[in-house]
Amino acid sequence: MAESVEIRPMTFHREVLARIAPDLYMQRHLSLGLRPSLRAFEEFRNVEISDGRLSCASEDSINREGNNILGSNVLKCGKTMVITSITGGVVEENIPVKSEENEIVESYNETDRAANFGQVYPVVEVERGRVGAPTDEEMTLSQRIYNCILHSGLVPKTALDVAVGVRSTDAEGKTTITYSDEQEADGALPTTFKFRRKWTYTLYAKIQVFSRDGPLFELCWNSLLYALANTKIPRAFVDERTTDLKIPISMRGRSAAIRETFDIICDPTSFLPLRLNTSNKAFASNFAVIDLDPEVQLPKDDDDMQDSMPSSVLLADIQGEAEEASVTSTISVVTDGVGNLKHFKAVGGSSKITMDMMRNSIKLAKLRASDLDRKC
Amino acid sequence: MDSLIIPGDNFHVEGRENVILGPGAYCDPKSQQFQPVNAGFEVVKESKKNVSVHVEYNSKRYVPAVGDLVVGLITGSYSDSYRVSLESFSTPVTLSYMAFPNASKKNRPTLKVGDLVYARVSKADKELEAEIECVDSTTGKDAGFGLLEGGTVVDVSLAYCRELAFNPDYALLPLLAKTAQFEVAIGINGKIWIKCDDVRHALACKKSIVDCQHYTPSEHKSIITKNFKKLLNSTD
Amino acid sequence: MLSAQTGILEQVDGSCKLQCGETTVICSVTGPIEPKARQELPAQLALEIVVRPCRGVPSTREKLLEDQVRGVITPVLARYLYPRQLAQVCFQILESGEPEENYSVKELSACINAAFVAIVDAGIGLKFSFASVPLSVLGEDEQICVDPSQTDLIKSSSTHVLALQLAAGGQKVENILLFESYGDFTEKSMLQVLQSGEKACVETALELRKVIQHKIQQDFVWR
Repeated sequence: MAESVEIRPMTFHREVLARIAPDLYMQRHLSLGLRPSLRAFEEFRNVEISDGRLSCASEDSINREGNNILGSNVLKCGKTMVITSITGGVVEENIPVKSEENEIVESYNETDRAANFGQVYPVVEVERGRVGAPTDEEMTLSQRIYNCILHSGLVPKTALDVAVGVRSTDAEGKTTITYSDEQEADGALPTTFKFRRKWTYTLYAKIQVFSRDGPLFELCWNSLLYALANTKIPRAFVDERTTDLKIPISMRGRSAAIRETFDIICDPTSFLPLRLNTSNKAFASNFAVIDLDPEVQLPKDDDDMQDSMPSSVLLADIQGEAEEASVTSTISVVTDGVGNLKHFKAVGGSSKITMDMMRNSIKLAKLRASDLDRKC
Repeated sequence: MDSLIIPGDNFHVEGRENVILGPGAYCDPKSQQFQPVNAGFEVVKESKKNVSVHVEYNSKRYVPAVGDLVVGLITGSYSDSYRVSLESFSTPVTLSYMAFPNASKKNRPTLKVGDLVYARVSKADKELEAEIECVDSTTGKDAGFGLLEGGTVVDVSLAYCRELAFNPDYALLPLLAKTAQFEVAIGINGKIWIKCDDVRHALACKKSIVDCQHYTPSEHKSIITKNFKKLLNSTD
Repeated sequence: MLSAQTGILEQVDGSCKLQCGETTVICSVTGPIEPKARQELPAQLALEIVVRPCRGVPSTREKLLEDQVRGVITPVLARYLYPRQLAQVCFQILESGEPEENYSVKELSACINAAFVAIVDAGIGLKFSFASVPLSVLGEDEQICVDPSQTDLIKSSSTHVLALQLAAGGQKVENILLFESYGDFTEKSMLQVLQSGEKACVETALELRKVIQHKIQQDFVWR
């Protein structure tokens, strides 16, 4: 009474296989010379950018009232959407008492490179329909972007200095605002005010990601770069009457002078573009190295028989769950079109990252960067 | 003297067939290559049929292996088994009510939470919860396992425990026995249970066992005498 | 330059205090232990990594360090030996040796080296050795500085961290576990950094090997 046992291969729907065995799904695609995203190995996705008309400095801004966004970008790549908005603030710098009377000397600091660069404080939010504390991914992304901006030298410290203007009211009650750098052109303006304090702008970037579909650092970085490129910072001024008030006080026989604190006001109508160090402008691209598993390759037709299959391949621009889950070795490059690198990160998991892979990825990243630069 | 080996090195058994891997040796499922995963002494044992290799390494955390004699602490009891902790924070193991001598549905063991047991590991699959037994499962008879009444437990490193249990030439316990009377149960999980009639003796034994793991056997005698002197001279 | 002691903490399974130039860290490893339900992985060892800064409370900077350390040790651990288990790896930075607000290369590389020794001390299975070095490129003539001092570090035009997976007694480079660079550099200088970093990593691995040898001799003092 022997019952015959029939063994039938199991078949799964494409999406199901991708979820339960991303590795197999990936390898099967690779053996066809394709990726799960149906792109070629070294093909990037197209990127659509617009500034979204969010910034209050933008000519065709959709909401100018009560808007404090100084620069913005909306980046679409595949189904992922990244919205970056730059906001800012003005802070007073601590200046040592001694230099108060002298001109504050600005020169390139040879011994501390990072001191010459301004920072942007990014906050990445990956929207997944829930609230709560930021996830580890969001925190590491924000910190990595922060490090990258600082060390790339994209924003020179001097670009964040505030050229303070003065608002004066003449006898007829008409107010004018004068800025020190506009004076020379006019020539006939009242005495220059020498400020004994120094203010700088601080820039914050809020990067929101919708429909996450793969690694995010590169998308966030590129979006931030586009946003910074169209950022305009408002001019700031103080009122003439409060520029240099000294109020003598005496307390228990001792006399002293305290200086009145005065408000620095941002001009809602006059903007200056943020002066970026364009030679340090670099775009990010990511790559993955994956070993081809000879055991799960689909059988080849005889006519396109390839004798020498490479043991591992380089994939550009990771996209989708299956790709992200099955790659462990990644390379991320931030470079400009001519090969000035600003950031490089290679993480080797199970697949070996060879020299050739790194060279190849830098080459592709350069091409990609010059391509992205044109969209600016 | 066996040679030192650390992860990333190669075993000296290349080109051999019928290699049996012991603790500290790992066979990569993909490449089928043997590699050491722990740092210690490489021990290669040859027999007619095959060659066995393992790494003799020291650690503090016990991972159950079949056949090990262990000292465990009862942390909970269920309808048909006890929950026993062999190592703090490690996954607990189970001790079935049927794993006692003369066990039957009616005849339940009388251990309570907080009791110490001496037992043998009977099942240890890494994917499953390990099981221990208080009976010699081949004969079904009592084999010296069961409740450890009174006494105290000393925590020591695993390699030291193995040395105490398996090396008959290691003279620490005979040396101790010359100075004090005690009962001892060595658990391979790094726990040694000792029981003396005199509390001061128990303390001195405990301290001596802990201290001696960092010194060569030649120094053991002086350590023991020093510990005993100190405690016996102390007043209540 | 590099010194390390193992087993300095009583209550954990493996520990290591490692000093590398101006930077000192303590690493502790506990495991394999029972994980919380949300950490559990059905087929492999889960990792919990905590970095505590040398002053103040942990911030996103420490989160990034944790992420980088995780990337380095995940592929070298024999994770499939311990299904549904957890290993905790904690770092306490004792001396940073660099301006913390802008840099983290020296801490990262010290953490990676300390983790290697501490994991070996804990007896958790490792498939390979690994070692790490911080590097920086200085000035116009692109002088490569291995394990830069604080003054060199802040002067340098680019900073790099290299962690390599090593085999065959720490002599053969198997793979790049982490190579991360910030600053201003070119492909050529990066590959040069990689080359000198490789050499330095092998040297560091030898130092770490000596530490482990000493530890084993201490462990088996009766032999």
